Amino acid sequence: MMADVQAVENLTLELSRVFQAKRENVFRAWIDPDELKHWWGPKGFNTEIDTFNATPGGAYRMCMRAPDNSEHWLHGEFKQVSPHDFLSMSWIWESGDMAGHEMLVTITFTAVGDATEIKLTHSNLPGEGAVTAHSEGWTSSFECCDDALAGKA
Amino acid sequence: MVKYSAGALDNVFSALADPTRRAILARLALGESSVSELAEPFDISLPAISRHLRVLRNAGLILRHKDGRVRRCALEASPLKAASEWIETYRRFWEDQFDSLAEYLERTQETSERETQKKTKEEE
Repeated sequence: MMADVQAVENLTLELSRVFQAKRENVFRAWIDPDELKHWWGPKGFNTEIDTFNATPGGAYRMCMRAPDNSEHWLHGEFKQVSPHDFLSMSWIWESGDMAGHEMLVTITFTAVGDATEIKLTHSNLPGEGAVTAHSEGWTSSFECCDDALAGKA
Repeated sequence: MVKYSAGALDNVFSALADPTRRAILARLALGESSVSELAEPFDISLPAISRHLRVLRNAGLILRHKDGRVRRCALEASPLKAASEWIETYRRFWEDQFDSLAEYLERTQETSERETQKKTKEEE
């Protein structure tokens, strides 16, 4: 139970990884749709990019298609695009119970010699206003996204 | 997996955003407690504590019941579990994405190195 409190008290998922590639190349892999589609999505899924405009205020919309052909659409807006340092975008599922719920993803790129460290945050964007919202209970699910996230269909 | 909705998760994350509320939960993790016992360690008024308790109750994190004339609070941990599972789900998702990106970068690096070598050879 205390582990659960600690896990959620930062309210944001944070993770980092060092990639053996130059910072420009790593950054480009995130903002160039022709590159992104080659690596994005869980194993066995195909990525279809409908819209992808990696400029501040630009929109993106794409689909992760599972091996069973079920589709998991996702869209959002690029908030900040600073080559080759920083990217942030909103993240909104189009189906499942998380549909329409805005989350925020930020990615920081730091050169470490010839390698690049990525620091990524994914937050659920809790607003203080949400506190007063009616508690909806714990019965509904977001299976659609769960499956996409878990890489299974 | 505990099933939960975006709205319910929002309430949990918001409830946990405050250090006093986290301290209250930490105290309740040790066992149930009366409202005045909960207020004791904090330098804030009872009404302020009540507000915090209301937020925690709205998030489904505490249950209240009356023990004679005393109101007691107990921890309800399942929303916490759901929130930490939400984080775990996304952690796994991004770790997989990172694996896939690392493979991609390695692949493209090799290709561009081969092309450079080829070019150099052609030039020789």
